[in-house]
Amino acid sequence: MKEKQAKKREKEPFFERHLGPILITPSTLVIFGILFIPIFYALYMSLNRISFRGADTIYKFAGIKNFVNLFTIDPWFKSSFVTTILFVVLTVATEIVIGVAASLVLNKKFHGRGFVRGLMILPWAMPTVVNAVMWKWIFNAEYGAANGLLMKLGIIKTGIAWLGTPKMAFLCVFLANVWKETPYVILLAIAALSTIPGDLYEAASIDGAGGWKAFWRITLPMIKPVLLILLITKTIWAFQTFDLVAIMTSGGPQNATNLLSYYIHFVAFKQTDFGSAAAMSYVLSMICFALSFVYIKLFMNNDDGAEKKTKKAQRRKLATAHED
Amino acid sequence: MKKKLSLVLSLVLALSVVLMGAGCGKSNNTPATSSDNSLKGQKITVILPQNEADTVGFRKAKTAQFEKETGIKVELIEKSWEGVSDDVTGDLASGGGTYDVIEFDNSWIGKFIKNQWVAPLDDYMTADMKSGMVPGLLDLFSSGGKHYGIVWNNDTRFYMYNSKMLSDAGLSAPPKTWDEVAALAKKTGKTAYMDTYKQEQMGTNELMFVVYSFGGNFVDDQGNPIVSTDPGVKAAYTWLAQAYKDGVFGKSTLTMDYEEVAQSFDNGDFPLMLQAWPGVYADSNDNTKSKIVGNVNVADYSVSKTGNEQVVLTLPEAMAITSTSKHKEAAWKYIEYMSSKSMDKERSEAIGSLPIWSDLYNDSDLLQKYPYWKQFGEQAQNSKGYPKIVWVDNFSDIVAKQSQKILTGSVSVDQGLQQMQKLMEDAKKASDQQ
Repeated sequence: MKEKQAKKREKEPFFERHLGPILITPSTLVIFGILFIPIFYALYMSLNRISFRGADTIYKFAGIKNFVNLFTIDPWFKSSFVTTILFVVLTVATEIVIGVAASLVLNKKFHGRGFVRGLMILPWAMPTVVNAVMWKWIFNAEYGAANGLLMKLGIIKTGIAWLGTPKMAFLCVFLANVWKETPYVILLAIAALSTIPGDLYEAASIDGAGGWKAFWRITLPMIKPVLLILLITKTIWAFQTFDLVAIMTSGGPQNATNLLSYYIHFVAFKQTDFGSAAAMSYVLSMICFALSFVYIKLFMNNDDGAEKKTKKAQRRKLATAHED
Repeated sequence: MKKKLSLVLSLVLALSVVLMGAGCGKSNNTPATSSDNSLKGQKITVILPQNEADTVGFRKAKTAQFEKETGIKVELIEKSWEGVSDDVTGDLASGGGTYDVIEFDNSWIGKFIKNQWVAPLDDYMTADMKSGMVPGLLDLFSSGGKHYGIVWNNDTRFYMYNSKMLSDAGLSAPPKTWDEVAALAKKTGKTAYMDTYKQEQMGTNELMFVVYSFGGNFVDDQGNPIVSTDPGVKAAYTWLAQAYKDGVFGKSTLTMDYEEVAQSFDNGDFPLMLQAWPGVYADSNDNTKSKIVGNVNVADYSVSKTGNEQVVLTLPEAMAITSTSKHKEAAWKYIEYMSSKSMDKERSEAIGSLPIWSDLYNDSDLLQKYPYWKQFGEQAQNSKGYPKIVWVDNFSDIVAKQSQKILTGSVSVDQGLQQMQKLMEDAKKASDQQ
């Protein structure tokens, strides 16, 4: 049978016989070109000290020295690293909590829901640069709307230097990011909520489950796959935050908002230390990769476990039936 | 017959020599248009910042004119200074070839020349240029006896003030010392000046001015850091920290950039602009942009510790040819055209930029239009810029970050300066080892 099939295939024209590989070759080449070559080249760079002479780039093998130097010699890397982790944890957690809460409200039927939903999406649709410039002016110590409002309300008498002190500046960048990114969570959460059958809530209500219990037992498990995607993408995006910092604070004051993406850019393009910048990029990528892996493990293990248990029980049932 | 032939040949030769001589002695008074047909159709890529030095699109218009007159095609890329810096550095670090004429900032001199990223211009420069351009500007972009850049933005800063605001405060002349600046703020209960002490190179620029005006220096003549021992540096930072506390300068000085500071000045929000670039005067007197038209004046001096340490900041930007350019001749034609004396005058007339040709400071047309250049001249007697060190990016970064710590009181002046010293020493050491 197999021989017959093989002979039949041999008679087919070359193009038809190799259609699959031919079709995926261009995209494979593109992926290889724009993904794998830069990844391996960056790894090569991270293992070298790089200097320049005219058109020539001189690579001097340094082993893992660039990586070690980040934690031992570099005066700013550690603080940038800690700031970045703090920023990622706070923004991702806040955006997901607020986003899910808002989506629950927007999933209810009320007059003008469509308009409110549209309004909620607005910050996300706004270009990041515009968002950053807007918040920069809102928080301007002399002319900003934040101080103006607080002064008019009589809450403060003199303007606060929102972006002038480390903690405040961090808070402002955090706020600007949450304002911009939360609507994306709302958008996806609403889509996930709309797929939950109403019967489930009706059945839960008959069984005496309250709103809170229904949320934990029905809503949350049902939107879990979407939350996982949000968690992964939001984490990666938060690690990549660049524009907000570049426009609002330039990493200051006192390095308080110098997130890793911004610092890497500085080391590469201002200090022209491409070896160290590549090493930092690798550290950042590995963190993103490790976190994504942990999220998937944490979220999917329970589901997989339950699925495996069900399948095991089904097999046992079948075996018992056969024996009978 | 032979004699006749020799005579004709001699005449032809003599005529050729005269014509050649005329060509060699070509003056840079007028824009140099190419008679060289071999350059026609060549394409060069020029990348320069679109910043406060040219807010009316002068360069774009003149580039189009250059293309028309020479037949050389120019792809002109204009971006923010930061954008240009990233693009140029990225391209040159990866082997170059994209750009022919690039922005060559005064703070990049050490790094770019060390990396051999820019080509010497001595073979192209005419004698007129070497003798006629402001010597300080040529020297700044020179190293090892070779010239590497021709200035397009003579960015020297000057002390300007809002005379109405000062007279409202009971002052007939602008403050001359830092203590007088503080006294003005105390008297009016408002900020005396705004500036940018942002965590960026522009912040370092302005902090350098304060330190210089207290007679201080960050590095010695050999480029060794001296911040923890220099009395001028300590005096400057002591004054700055107290001034921040007392509100002598606006708190958003820590986050604002140049354009924002200029906008606020034009808005009449504060009376003193300690280091304004030349174009500020024109903009402040433009009623489409400014609310203080007619109230802006230029001081005869700059603010300093005792009134004797006169100094202004000079941060010129030049055009350079990349060492990897395949069209160096055409690239030079562009530079020559854009920096000719007549073009320099035209630019000054159009946007109030400071000339790069010495003669033009005595040009009657320009002096009539910009009578305050007399005061500019007084202030510019002692102009100072970045130290010529290879680790200048680290230097700038360290100054900006540590200064913010000192200003906001996160560390004492002494602690901050000691940390600054240590960071600078490490940066220099790392640079020396490369």
